[in-house]
Amino acid sequence: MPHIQAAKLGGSNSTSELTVDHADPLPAKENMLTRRAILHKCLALGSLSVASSFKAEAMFTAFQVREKQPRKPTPPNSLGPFYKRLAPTTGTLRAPGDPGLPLSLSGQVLDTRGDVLPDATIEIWHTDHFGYYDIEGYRYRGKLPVGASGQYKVETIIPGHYPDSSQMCQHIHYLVTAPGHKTLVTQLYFATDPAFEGDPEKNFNRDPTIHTPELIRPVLLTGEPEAIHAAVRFELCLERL
Amino acid sequence: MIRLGRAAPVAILLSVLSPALFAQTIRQESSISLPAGVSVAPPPGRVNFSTTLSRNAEFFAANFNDNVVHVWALPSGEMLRTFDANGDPAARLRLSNDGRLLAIAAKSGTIKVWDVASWRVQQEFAASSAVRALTISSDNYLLALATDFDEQVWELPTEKRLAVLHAPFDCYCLMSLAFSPDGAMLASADGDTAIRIYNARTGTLRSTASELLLESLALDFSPDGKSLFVGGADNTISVIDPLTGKLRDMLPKQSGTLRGLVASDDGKQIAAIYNLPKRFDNASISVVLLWDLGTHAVHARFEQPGIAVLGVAFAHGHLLLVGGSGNKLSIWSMQ
Repeated sequence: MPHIQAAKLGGSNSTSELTVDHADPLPAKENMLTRRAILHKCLALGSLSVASSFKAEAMFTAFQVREKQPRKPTPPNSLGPFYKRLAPTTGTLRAPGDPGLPLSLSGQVLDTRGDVLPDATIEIWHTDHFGYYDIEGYRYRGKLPVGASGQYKVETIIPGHYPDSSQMCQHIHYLVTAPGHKTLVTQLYFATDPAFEGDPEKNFNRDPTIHTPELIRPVLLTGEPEAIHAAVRFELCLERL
Repeated sequence: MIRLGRAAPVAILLSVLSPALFAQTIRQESSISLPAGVSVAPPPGRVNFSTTLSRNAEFFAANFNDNVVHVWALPSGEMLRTFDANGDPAARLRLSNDGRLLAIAAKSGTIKVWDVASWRVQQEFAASSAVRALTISSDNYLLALATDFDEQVWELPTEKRLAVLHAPFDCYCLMSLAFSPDGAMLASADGDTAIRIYNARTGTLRSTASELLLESLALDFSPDGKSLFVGGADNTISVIDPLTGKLRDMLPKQSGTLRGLVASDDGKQIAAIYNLPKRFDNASISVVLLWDLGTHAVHARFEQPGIAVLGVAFAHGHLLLVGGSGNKLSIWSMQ
Protein backbone atom coordinates (compact mmCIF):
# COMPACT_ATOMS: atom_id res chain seq x y z
CA MET A 1 0.00 0.00 0.00
CA PRO A 2 1.26 3.51 -0.69
CA HIS A 3 2.25 5.51 2.29
CA ILE A 4 0.61 8.90 2.22
CA GLN A 5 2.88 11.61 3.58
CA ALA A 6 0.35 14.37 3.35
CA ALA A 7 -3.03 14.45 1.79
CA LYS A 8 -4.21 17.83 0.69
CA LEU A 9 -6.01 18.39 -2.52
CA GLY A 10 -6.18 21.91 -3.94
CA GLY A 11 -9.05 23.47 -5.82
CA SER A 12 -9.76 22.69 -9.40
CA ASN A 13 -7.36 25.33 -10.68
CA SER A 14 -4.49 24.50 -8.42
CA THR A 15 -1.93 21.80 -8.80
CA SER A 16 -1.98 18.80 -6.60
CA GLU A 17 -0.12 19.17 -3.33
CA LEU A 18 -0.48 15.55 -2.57
CA THR A 19 2.74 13.71 -1.90
CA VAL A 20 2.73 9.96 -1.92
CA ASP A 21 5.33 7.32 -1.44
CA HIS A 22 4.92 5.21 -4.54
CA ALA A 23 7.12 2.46 -3.24
CA ASP A 24 4.68 -0.36 -3.77
CA PRO A 25 2.94 -0.08 -7.11
CA LEU A 26 3.76 -3.69 -7.79
CA PRO A 27 1.79 -6.62 -6.44
CA ALA A 28 2.86 -7.48 -2.90
CA LYS A 29 2.52 -11.18 -3.56
CA GLU A 30 2.16 -13.31 -6.58
CA ASN A 31 -1.45 -13.28 -7.83
CA MET A 32 -2.37 -10.57 -5.38
CA LEU A 33 -2.73 -7.06 -6.75
CA THR A 34 -2.62 -3.98 -4.59
CA ARG A 35 -5.54 -1.60 -4.75
CA ARG A 36 -3.40 0.83 -6.71
CA ALA A 37 -2.34 -1.86 -9.18
CA ILE A 38 -5.99 -2.79 -9.68
CA LEU A 39 -6.83 0.85 -10.38
CA HIS A 40 -3.98 0.98 -12.91
CA LYS A 41 -5.28 -2.15 -14.56
CA CYS A 42 -8.83 -0.77 -14.62
CA LEU A 43 -7.50 2.37 -16.28
CA ALA A 44 -5.54 0.37 -18.83
CA LEU A 45 -8.50 -1.85 -19.69
CA GLY A 46 -10.95 1.04 -19.88
CA SER A 47 -13.09 0.05 -16.92
CA LEU A 48 -12.00 3.24 -15.19
CA SER A 49 -11.57 6.66 -16.72
CA VAL A 50 -10.17 9.77 -15.10
CA ALA A 51 -11.68 13.06 -16.19
CA SER A 52 -9.72 15.57 -14.17
CA SER A 53 -6.96 18.12 -14.49
CA PHE A 54 -5.04 16.09 -11.93
CA LYS A 55 -2.80 13.21 -12.80
CA ALA A 56 -4.16 9.71 -12.51
CA GLU A 57 -1.78 8.93 -9.64
CA ALA A 58 -3.19 11.79 -7.61
CA MET A 59 -6.73 10.69 -8.34
CA PHE A 60 -5.91 7.11 -7.39
CA THR A 61 -4.55 8.27 -4.07
CA ALA A 62 -7.62 10.40 -3.46
CA PHE A 63 -9.74 7.38 -4.39
CA GLN A 64 -7.95 5.25 -1.81
CA VAL A 65 -8.13 7.93 0.87
CA ARG A 66 -11.87 8.28 0.32
CA GLU A 67 -12.30 4.51 0.38
CA LYS A 68 -10.64 4.40 3.79
CA GLN A 69 -12.68 7.17 5.33
CA PRO A 70 -14.53 6.00 8.42
CA ARG A 71 -17.84 4.33 7.78
CA LYS A 72 -20.77 4.78 10.03
CA PRO A 73 -21.37 1.71 12.18
CA THR A 74 -24.60 -0.12 11.53
CA PRO A 75 -27.22 1.26 13.92
CA PRO A 76 -28.14 -1.11 16.74
CA ASN A 77 -31.63 -2.35 17.48
CA SER A 78 -33.27 -4.48 20.12
CA LEU A 79 -32.20 -8.09 20.66
CA GLY A 80 -35.29 -9.68 21.99
CA PRO A 81 -37.13 -11.10 23.57
CA PHE A 82 -36.89 -14.27 21.48
CA TYR A 83 -33.16 -14.71 20.99
CA LYS A 84 -32.19 -18.33 21.58
CA ARG A 85 -28.66 -19.40 22.33
CA LEU A 86 -26.86 -22.30 20.60
CA ALA A 87 -28.38 -21.87 17.14
CA PRO A 88 -27.07 -24.38 14.57
CA THR A 89 -24.33 -23.39 12.16
CA THR A 90 -26.16 -23.02 8.87
CA GLY A 91 -27.09 -20.42 6.30
CA THR A 92 -29.98 -22.47 4.95
CA LEU A 93 -32.99 -21.68 7.07
CA ARG A 94 -35.65 -22.32 4.43
CA ALA A 95 -36.98 -25.84 3.96
CA PRO A 96 -38.75 -27.00 0.79
CA GLY A 97 -42.44 -26.18 0.92
CA ASP A 98 -42.13 -23.57 3.66
CA PRO A 99 -44.90 -20.96 3.44
CA GLY A 100 -43.69 -17.48 2.66
CA LEU A 101 -41.70 -15.67 0.02
CA PRO A 102 -38.24 -17.19 -0.48
CA LEU A 103 -35.53 -14.72 0.47
CA SER A 104 -31.83 -14.60 -0.28
CA LEU A 105 -30.10 -12.48 2.28
CA SER A 106 -26.54 -11.36 1.65
CA GLY A 107 -23.99 -8.76 2.62
CA GLN A 108 -20.53 -8.20 3.93
CA VAL A 109 -19.12 -7.57 7.38
CA LEU A 110 -16.72 -4.64 7.57
CA ASP A 111 -15.28 -2.40 10.23
CA THR A 112 -15.61 1.37 10.30
CA ARG A 113 -12.39 1.70 8.28
CA GLY A 114 -13.88 -0.40 5.50
CA ASP A 115 -11.70 -3.41 6.22
CA VAL A 116 -13.28 -6.82 5.78
CA LEU A 117 -13.75 -8.78 9.02
CA PRO A 118 -13.03 -12.37 7.97
CA ASP A 119 -13.36 -13.74 11.50
CA ALA A 120 -16.86 -12.37 12.00
CA THR A 121 -19.79 -14.61 12.87
CA ILE A 122 -23.38 -13.74 12.09
CA GLU A 123 -26.34 -15.08 13.98
CA ILE A 124 -29.77 -14.58 12.46
CA TRP A 125 -33.26 -15.37 13.69
CA HIS A 126 -36.78 -14.41 12.69
CA THR A 127 -40.40 -15.51 12.78
CA ASP A 128 -42.05 -17.88 10.38
CA HIS A 129 -44.44 -16.69 7.70
CA PHE A 130 -47.21 -16.40 10.31
CA GLY A 131 -45.22 -14.26 12.72
CA TYR A 132 -44.23 -16.86 15.30
CA TYR A 133 -40.76 -17.56 16.64
CA ASP A 134 -39.76 -21.14 17.19
CA ILE A 135 -38.86 -21.29 20.86
CA GLU A 136 -38.94 -25.08 21.13
CA GLY A 137 -36.49 -25.72 18.31
CA TYR A 138 -34.33 -23.70 15.93
CA ARG A 139 -36.47 -23.08 12.84
CA TYR A 140 -35.37 -19.83 11.19
CA ARG A 141 -32.38 -19.58 13.45
CA GLY A 142 -28.82 -19.97 12.21
CA LYS A 143 -25.26 -18.97 12.86
CA LEU A 144 -22.56 -18.75 10.21
CA PRO A 145 -18.96 -17.61 9.94
CA VAL A 146 -18.41 -15.14 7.12
CA GLY A 147 -15.08 -16.38 5.75
CA ALA A 148 -12.17 -14.55 4.15
CA SER A 149 -14.24 -12.20 2.02
CA GLY A 150 -16.46 -11.12 4.89
CA GLN A 151 -19.45 -12.06 2.75
CA TYR A 152 -22.45 -13.93 4.05
CA LYS A 153 -25.44 -15.49 2.37
CA VAL A 154 -28.57 -16.87 3.99
CA GLU A 155 -31.45 -18.66 2.29
CA THR A 156 -34.68 -18.14 4.17
CA ILE A 157 -38.15 -16.60 3.82
CA ILE A 158 -39.51 -13.12 4.44
CA PRO A 159 -40.84 -13.33 8.01
CA GLY A 160 -44.45 -12.54 8.83
CA HIS A 161 -45.86 -9.77 10.97
CA TYR A 162 -46.44 -10.56 14.63
CA PRO A 163 -49.98 -11.91 14.92
CA ASP A 164 -50.88 -9.63 17.82
CA SER A 165 -49.64 -6.34 16.51
CA SER A 166 -50.06 -4.18 13.47
CA GLN A 167 -47.31 -1.85 14.66
CA MET A 168 -44.30 -4.13 14.49
CA CYS A 169 -42.88 -4.44 10.99
CA GLN A 170 -41.45 -7.62 9.51
CA HIS A 171 -37.86 -7.97 10.63
CA ILE A 172 -34.84 -10.21 10.88
CA HIS A 173 -32.63 -10.14 13.97
CA TYR A 174 -28.84 -10.02 13.68
CA LEU A 175 -26.18 -10.67 16.30
CA VAL A 176 -22.76 -10.06 14.76
CA THR A 177 -19.50 -10.75 16.56
CA ALA A 178 -15.89 -10.30 15.49
CA PRO A 179 -12.72 -10.45 17.60
CA GLY A 180 -11.60 -7.00 18.66
CA HIS A 181 -14.91 -5.43 17.71
CA LYS A 182 -18.02 -4.39 19.55
CA THR A 183 -20.79 -6.94 19.18
CA LEU A 184 -23.56 -5.63 16.96
CA VAL A 185 -27.19 -6.36 17.83
CA THR A 186 -29.54 -5.06 15.17
CA GLN A 187 -32.51 -5.80 12.95
CA LEU A 188 -33.17 -5.68 9.22
CA TYR A 189 -36.51 -4.36 7.99
CA PHE A 190 -38.03 -4.57 4.52
CA ALA A 191 -38.84 -1.48 2.47
CA THR A 192 -41.84 -3.37 1.08
CA ASP A 193 -43.52 -3.57 4.49
CA PRO A 194 -47.03 -2.09 4.14
CA ALA A 195 -46.43 0.09 7.20
CA PHE A 196 -43.98 2.25 5.24
CA GLU A 197 -46.42 2.85 2.38
CA GLY A 198 -43.48 2.75 -0.02
CA ASP A 199 -41.66 5.61 1.70
CA PRO A 200 -39.45 4.24 4.51
CA GLU A 201 -37.55 7.53 4.84
CA LYS A 202 -40.75 9.27 5.81
CA ASN A 203 -42.68 6.53 7.55
CA PHE A 204 -39.99 4.49 9.31
CA ASN A 205 -41.15 5.45 12.80
CA ARG A 206 -44.60 3.99 12.34
CA ASP A 207 -42.96 1.03 13.99
CA PRO A 208 -41.90 2.44 17.38
CA THR A 209 -38.90 0.13 17.51
CA ILE A 210 -37.34 1.59 14.35
CA HIS A 211 -35.22 4.62 15.12
CA THR A 212 -33.56 5.07 11.74
CA PRO A 213 -34.49 4.28 8.14
CA GLU A 214 -30.95 2.94 7.63
CA LEU A 215 -32.11 -0.48 8.79
CA ILE A 216 -34.86 -0.64 6.17
CA ARG A 217 -33.47 -2.31 3.05
CA PRO A 218 -34.78 -2.34 -0.53
CA VAL A 219 -36.09 -5.65 -1.83
CA LEU A 220 -35.13 -7.08 -5.23
CA LEU A 221 -37.68 -9.44 -6.79
CA THR A 222 -36.39 -12.04 -9.24
CA GLY A 223 -37.60 -15.19 -10.98
CA GLU A 224 -40.80 -16.12 -12.71
CA PRO A 225 -44.19 -15.08 -11.29
CA GLU A 226 -44.78 -18.74 -10.32
CA ALA A 227 -41.46 -18.93 -8.53
CA ILE A 228 -40.92 -15.41 -7.31
CA HIS A 229 -37.89 -14.85 -5.11
CA ALA A 230 -36.79 -11.88 -3.03
CA ALA A 231 -33.24 -10.75 -2.41
CA VAL A 232 -32.00 -8.23 0.14
CA ARG A 233 -28.48 -7.03 0.76
CA PHE A 234 -27.52 -5.78 4.21
CA GLU A 235 -23.97 -4.64 4.91
CA LEU A 236 -22.85 -4.77 8.52
CA CYS A 237 -20.30 -2.35 9.90
CA LEU A 238 -18.78 -3.00 13.32
CA GLU A 239 -16.95 -0.61 15.64
CA ARG A 240 -13.55 -1.48 17.03
CA LEU A 241 -13.30 -2.04 20.74
CA MET B 1 -62.21 9.26 36.83
CA ILE B 2 -62.23 6.82 39.71
CA ARG B 3 -65.00 4.61 40.92
CA LEU B 4 -64.27 3.57 44.43
CA GLY B 5 -65.41 0.76 46.64
CA ARG B 6 -67.52 -1.47 44.53
CA ALA B 7 -69.64 -2.62 47.41
CA ALA B 8 -70.87 -5.74 45.74
CA PRO B 9 -67.93 -6.96 43.79
CA VAL B 10 -68.50 -9.65 41.28
CA ALA B 11 -67.31 -12.95 42.63
CA ILE B 12 -66.50 -15.43 39.98
CA LEU B 13 -65.85 -19.03 40.68
CA LEU B 14 -62.77 -19.77 38.68
CA SER B 15 -63.92 -23.30 38.39
CA VAL B 16 -66.56 -21.98 36.00
CA LEU B 17 -63.84 -20.58 33.76
CA SER B 18 -61.59 -23.56 34.15
CA PRO B 19 -63.61 -26.52 35.34
CA ALA B 20 -60.59 -28.65 36.06
CA LEU B 21 -59.27 -26.13 38.48
CA PHE B 22 -60.21 -24.86 41.87
CA ALA B 23 -62.85 -23.11 43.82
CA GLN B 24 -60.87 -19.90 44.09
CA THR B 25 -62.82 -16.67 44.22
CA ILE B 26 -61.82 -13.42 42.68
CA ARG B 27 -63.28 -10.12 43.67
CA GLN B 28 -63.09 -6.85 41.84
CA GLU B 29 -62.00 -4.29 44.40
CA SER B 30 -62.20 -1.16 42.28
CA SER B 31 -61.95 0.13 38.76
CA ILE B 32 -60.37 3.22 37.30
CA SER B 33 -61.31 4.98 34.10
CA LEU B 34 -58.32 6.47 32.36
CA PRO B 35 -58.56 9.45 30.01
CA ALA B 36 -59.80 8.75 26.51
CA GLY B 37 -57.02 7.59 24.25
CA VAL B 38 -54.99 6.07 27.06
CA SER B 39 -54.55 2.36 26.58
CA VAL B 40 -53.84 -0.16 29.31
CA ALA B 41 -52.48 -2.83 26.97
CA PRO B 42 -48.79 -2.23 26.37
CA PRO B 43 -48.14 -1.24 22.77
CA PRO B 44 -45.39 -3.53 21.48
CA GLY B 45 -42.03 -1.89 21.34
CA ARG B 46 -42.93 1.13 23.44
CA VAL B 47 -40.02 1.52 25.78
CA ASN B 48 -41.63 4.32 27.74
CA PHE B 49 -44.54 2.16 28.83
CA SER B 50 -43.98 1.01 32.36
CA THR B 51 -45.97 -0.11 35.37
CA THR B 52 -44.97 -0.99 38.92
CA LEU B 53 -46.84 -2.54 41.84
CA SER B 54 -45.30 -2.31 45.29
CA ARG B 55 -44.58 -5.67 46.87
CA ASN B 56 -46.81 -4.80 49.84
CA ALA B 57 -49.68 -4.31 47.36
CA GLU B 58 -50.44 -0.78 48.57
CA PHE B 59 -49.47 1.30 45.53
CA PHE B 60 -49.55 1.01 41.76
CA ALA B 61 -47.86 3.44 39.36
CA ALA B 62 -48.04 3.48 35.59
CA ASN B 63 -46.91 5.43 32.59
CA PHE B 64 -49.20 4.53 29.72
CA ASN B 65 -49.26 6.18 26.31
CA ASP B 66 -50.13 9.67 27.57
CA ASN B 67 -46.65 10.37 28.98
CA VAL B 68 -48.12 10.99 32.42
CA VAL B 69 -47.10 8.93 35.45
CA HIS B 70 -50.11 8.09 37.59
CA VAL B 71 -49.88 6.74 41.14
CA TRP B 72 -52.84 5.02 42.79
CA ALA B 73 -53.51 3.63 46.26
CA LEU B 74 -54.60 -0.02 46.36
CA PRO B 75 -57.01 -1.65 46.59
CA SER B 76 -59.22 1.47 46.60
CA GLY B 77 -57.93 2.79 43.29
CA GLU B 78 -57.71 6.30 44.72
CA MET B 79 -55.44 8.44 42.59
CA LEU B 80 -52.66 9.93 44.68
CA ARG B 81 -50.50 11.81 42.26
CA THR B 82 -49.67 12.44 38.61
CA PHE B 83 -46.39 13.54 37.09
CA ASP B 84 -46.30 15.25 33.72
CA ALA B 85 -43.41 14.37 31.49
CA ASN B 86 -42.46 17.99 30.75
CA GLY B 87 -40.74 16.90 27.56
CA ASP B 88 -38.85 14.02 29.15
CA PRO B 89 -41.21 11.05 29.32
CA ALA B 90 -40.76 8.37 31.94
CA ALA B 91 -39.22 5.21 30.57
CA ARG B 92 -39.12 3.02 33.67
CA LEU B 93 -40.87 3.13 37.02
CA ARG B 94 -40.18 1.24 40.21
CA LEU B 95 -41.90 1.32 43.59
CA SER B 96 -39.91 0.06 46.55
CA ASN B 97 -41.17 -3.09 48.24
CA ASP B 98 -42.71 -1.08 51.09
CA GLY B 99 -44.16 1.50 48.72
CA ARG B 100 -42.28 4.35 50.38
CA LEU B 101 -40.17 5.23 47.34
CA LEU B 102 -41.03 5.67 43.68
CA ALA B 103 -38.13 5.80 41.21
CA ILE B 104 -38.91 7.38 37.87
CA ALA B 105 -36.30 7.03 35.15
CA ALA B 106 -36.89 9.48 32.33
CA LYS B 107 -36.08 8.73 28.72
CA SER B 108 -33.08 11.05 28.99
CA GLY B 109 -31.55 8.83 31.70
CA THR B 110 -32.37 11.14 34.61
CA ILE B 111 -33.59 9.23 37.67
CA LYS B 112 -35.66 10.85 40.38
CA VAL B 113 -36.48 8.98 43.56
CA TRP B 114 -39.65 10.35 45.17
CA ASP B 115 -40.74 9.96 48.76
CA VAL B 116 -44.32 8.78 48.36
CA ALA B 117 -45.53 10.19 51.69
CA SER B 118 -44.29 13.73 51.15
CA TRP B 119 -44.06 13.73 47.34
CA ARG B 120 -40.61 15.26 47.54
CA VAL B 121 -37.64 14.24 45.43
CA GLN B 122 -35.23 12.46 47.75
CA GLN B 123 -32.50 11.70 45.25
CA GLU B 124 -31.72 12.68 41.71
CA PHE B 125 -28.93 11.40 39.52
CA ALA B 126 -28.22 10.58 35.90
CA ALA B 127 -27.50 7.30 34.15
CA SER B 128 -25.44 7.38 30.97
CA SER B 129 -28.36 6.53 28.69
CA ALA B 130 -31.95 5.38 28.62
CA VAL B 131 -32.84 3.08 31.49
CA ARG B 132 -34.19 -0.37 30.65
CA ALA B 133 -34.72 -1.77 34.14
CA LEU B 134 -34.86 -0.48 37.71
CA THR B 135 -34.98 -2.10 41.11
CA ILE B 136 -34.69 -0.98 44.72
CA SER B 137 -33.34 -3.10 47.58
CA SER B 138 -35.70 -4.11 50.39
CA ASP B 139 -34.08 -1.70 52.85
CA ASN B 140 -34.43 1.18 50.34
CA TYR B 141 -30.66 1.66 50.51
CA LEU B 142 -29.60 0.58 47.02
CA LEU B 143 -30.99 1.21 43.56
CA ALA B 144 -29.86 -0.79 40.53
CA LEU B 145 -30.54 0.16 36.95
CA ALA B 146 -29.75 -1.23 33.52
CA THR B 147 -29.04 0.99 30.54
CA ASP B 148 -28.28 0.01 26.95
CA PHE B 149 -24.60 -0.17 27.84
CA ASP B 150 -24.15 -1.19 31.46
CA GLU B 151 -25.77 -1.86 34.80
CA GLN B 152 -25.19 0.43 37.75
CA VAL B 153 -25.70 0.17 41.50
CA TRP B 154 -26.33 3.42 43.38
CA GLU B 155 -26.36 4.02 47.11
CA LEU B 156 -29.46 6.09 47.64
CA PRO B 157 -28.63 8.04 50.82
CA THR B 158 -25.34 9.28 49.38
CA GLU B 159 -26.29 9.35 45.67
CA LYS B 160 -22.99 7.56 45.11
CA ARG B 161 -22.51 5.07 42.31
CA LEU B 162 -21.08 1.94 43.92
CA ALA B 163 -20.61 -0.37 40.94
CA VAL B 164 -20.79 -0.51 37.17
CA LEU B 165 -21.40 -3.93 35.63
CA HIS B 166 -20.91 -4.85 32.00
CA ALA B 167 -22.89 -7.56 30.23
CA PRO B 168 -21.17 -9.32 27.30
CA PHE B 169 -22.94 -7.13 24.75
CA ASP B 170 -25.46 -4.33 24.54
CA CYS B 171 -28.83 -5.88 23.82
CA TYR B 172 -31.00 -2.73 23.63
CA CYS B 173 -33.80 -4.73 25.15
CA LEU B 174 -35.90 -4.80 28.27
CA MET B 175 -33.98 -6.47 31.04
CA SER B 176 -34.74 -7.55 34.55
CA LEU B 177 -32.89 -6.93 37.81
CA ALA B 178 -33.54 -8.11 41.36
CA PHE B 179 -31.83 -7.62 44.70
CA SER B 180 -31.72 -10.46 47.17
CA PRO B 181 -33.84 -9.72 50.28
CA ASP B 182 -30.73 -8.77 52.31
CA GLY B 183 -29.46 -6.52 49.50
CA ALA B 184 -26.19 -8.44 49.27
CA MET B 185 -26.76 -9.89 45.79
CA LEU B 186 -27.98 -8.37 42.55
CA ALA B 187 -29.29 -10.71 39.84
CA SER B 188 -29.34 -9.54 36.25
CA ALA B 189 -31.05 -11.20 33.28
CA ASP B 190 -28.76 -10.41 30.37
CA GLY B 191 -29.28 -10.41 26.61
CA ASP B 192 -27.06 -13.45 26.07
CA THR B 193 -29.69 -15.40 28.09
CA ALA B 194 -27.36 -15.81 31.08
CA ILE B 195 -28.37 -14.76 34.58
CA ARG B 196 -25.47 -13.12 36.41
CA ILE B 197 -25.41 -12.73 40.16
CA TYR B 198 -23.16 -10.01 41.54
CA ASN B 199 -22.08 -8.74 44.89
CA ALA B 200 -24.42 -5.75 44.92
CA ARG B 201 -22.03 -3.35 46.59
CA THR B 202 -18.78 -4.19 44.80
CA GLY B 203 -20.06 -5.43 41.45
CA THR B 204 -17.97 -8.60 41.73
CA LEU B 205 -19.47 -11.48 39.78
CA ARG B 206 -20.47 -14.26 42.18
CA SER B 207 -22.04 -16.78 39.83
CA THR B 208 -23.49 -17.18 36.35
CA ALA B 209 -26.49 -19.27 35.40
CA SER B 210 -25.84 -20.19 31.80
CA GLU B 211 -28.16 -23.16 31.28
CA LEU B 212 -31.11 -21.11 30.02
CA LEU B 213 -31.39 -20.89 26.23
CA LEU B 214 -33.96 -18.11 25.90
CA GLU B 215 -34.11 -14.62 27.34
CA SER B 216 -35.41 -14.11 30.86
CA LEU B 217 -37.77 -11.22 31.56
CA ALA B 218 -38.60 -11.57 35.25
CA LEU B 219 -36.58 -12.33 38.38
CA ASP B 220 -37.34 -12.66 42.07
CA PHE B 221 -35.47 -14.09 45.04
CA SER B 222 -37.02 -16.35 47.63
CA PRO B 223 -37.49 -14.61 51.00
CA ASP B 224 -34.46 -16.47 52.44
CA GLY B 225 -32.31 -15.50 49.44
CA LYS B 226 -31.40 -19.12 48.77
CA SER B 227 -33.32 -19.44 45.52
CA LEU B 228 -33.65 -17.22 42.48
CA PHE B 229 -36.81 -17.58 40.40
CA VAL B 230 -36.44 -16.78 36.72
CA GLY B 231 -38.96 -16.69 33.89
CA GLY B 232 -39.23 -15.38 30.36
CA ALA B 233 -39.43 -16.37 26.73
CA ASP B 234 -39.10 -20.05 27.59
CA ASN B 235 -42.61 -19.90 29.13
CA THR B 236 -41.50 -21.48 32.37
CA ILE B 237 -40.14 -20.69 35.82
CA SER B 238 -36.63 -21.89 36.59
CA VAL B 239 -35.29 -22.11 40.12
CA ILE B 240 -31.61 -21.26 40.35
CA ASP B 241 -29.13 -21.54 43.19
CA PRO B 242 -27.73 -17.99 43.34
CA LEU B 243 -24.50 -19.14 44.97
CA THR B 244 -23.55 -21.56 42.20
CA GLY B 245 -25.71 -20.48 39.27
CA LYS B 246 -26.91 -24.07 38.89
CA LEU B 247 -30.43 -24.82 37.74
CA ARG B 248 -32.18 -26.50 40.65
CA ASP B 249 -35.74 -26.94 39.43
CA MET B 250 -38.11 -26.04 36.63
CA LEU B 251 -41.90 -25.66 36.69
CA PRO B 252 -44.14 -26.98 33.90
CA LYS B 253 -44.01 -24.98 30.69
CA GLN B 254 -47.00 -22.82 29.69
CA SER B 255 -48.16 -21.47 26.34
CA GLY B 256 -47.29 -17.81 26.93
CA THR B 257 -44.21 -15.71 27.58
CA LEU B 258 -43.68 -15.12 31.29
CA ARG B 259 -43.66 -11.36 31.89
CA GLY B 260 -43.72 -11.07 35.66
CA LEU B 261 -43.35 -13.15 38.78
CA VAL B 262 -43.37 -12.65 42.51
CA ALA B 263 -42.62 -15.10 45.33
CA SER B 264 -44.90 -15.28 48.37
CA ASP B 265 -43.61 -14.16 51.76
CA ASP B 266 -43.29 -17.76 52.95
CA GLY B 267 -41.44 -18.75 49.78
CA LYS B 268 -43.84 -21.60 49.09
CA GLN B 269 -45.77 -20.05 46.20
CA ILE B 270 -45.09 -18.01 43.10
CA ALA B 271 -47.56 -15.88 41.19
CA ALA B 272 -46.61 -15.54 37.53
CA ILE B 273 -48.05 -13.47 34.68
CA TYR B 274 -47.94 -15.09 31.24
CA ASN B 275 -48.74 -13.13 28.10
CA LEU B 276 -50.74 -15.36 25.80
CA PRO B 277 -49.41 -15.81 22.28
CA LYS B 278 -52.56 -14.89 20.36
CA ARG B 279 -54.74 -11.89 20.90
CA PHE B 280 -58.03 -11.99 19.08
CA ASP B 281 -61.02 -9.79 19.82
CA ASN B 282 -62.15 -10.31 23.38
CA ALA B 283 -59.66 -13.12 23.96
CA SER B 284 -57.52 -13.29 27.05
CA ILE B 285 -54.32 -11.33 26.82
CA SER B 286 -52.69 -12.71 29.90
CA VAL B 287 -53.13 -15.43 32.47
CA VAL B 288 -51.91 -15.46 36.07
CA LEU B 289 -51.02 -18.77 37.68
CA LEU B 290 -50.37 -19.31 41.36
CA TRP B 291 -47.84 -22.12 41.66
CA ASP B 292 -47.08 -24.34 44.61
CA LEU B 293 -43.33 -24.68 44.54
CA GLY B 294 -43.32 -27.90 46.50
CA THR B 295 -45.75 -29.86 44.36
CA HIS B 296 -45.51 -27.94 41.06
CA ALA B 297 -49.30 -27.73 41.14
CA VAL B 298 -51.31 -24.70 40.09
CA HIS B 299 -53.27 -23.46 43.10
CA ALA B 300 -55.18 -20.75 41.32
CA ARG B 301 -55.67 -19.28 37.89
CA PHE B 302 -56.82 -15.83 36.80
CA GLU B 303 -57.87 -15.23 33.23
CA GLN B 304 -60.55 -12.96 31.89
CA PRO B 305 -61.50 -12.03 28.34
CA GLY B 306 -59.62 -9.03 27.00
CA ILE B 307 -57.77 -8.38 30.25
CA ALA B 308 -54.03 -7.69 30.33
CA VAL B 309 -52.60 -8.22 33.81
CA LEU B 310 -49.95 -5.63 34.67
CA GLY B 311 -48.97 -6.58 38.19
CA VAL B 312 -49.48 -9.10 40.99
CA ALA B 313 -48.57 -8.98 44.67
CA PHE B 314 -49.24 -11.07 47.75
CA ALA B 315 -51.07 -9.20 50.50
CA HIS B 316 -52.67 -10.38 53.72
CA GLY B 317 -53.38 -13.90 52.60
CA HIS B 318 -54.63 -13.08 49.14
CA LEU B 319 -53.27 -12.17 45.77
CA LEU B 320 -53.86 -8.66 44.45
CA LEU B 321 -53.95 -8.19 40.68
CA VAL B 322 -53.92 -5.01 38.61
CA GLY B 323 -54.92 -5.15 34.98
CA GLY B 324 -57.45 -4.01 32.51
CA SER B 325 -58.32 -3.37 28.92
CA GLY B 326 -58.88 -0.30 26.78
CA ASN B 327 -58.78 2.70 29.06
CA LYS B 328 -60.12 0.92 32.10
CA LEU B 329 -57.90 -0.34 34.90
CA SER B 330 -59.23 -2.83 37.45
CA ILE B 331 -58.00 -4.15 40.76
CA TRP B 332 -58.90 -7.68 41.80
CA SER B 333 -58.16 -9.74 44.86
CA MET B 334 -58.00 -13.49 44.68
CA GLN B 335 -58.52 -15.57 47.82
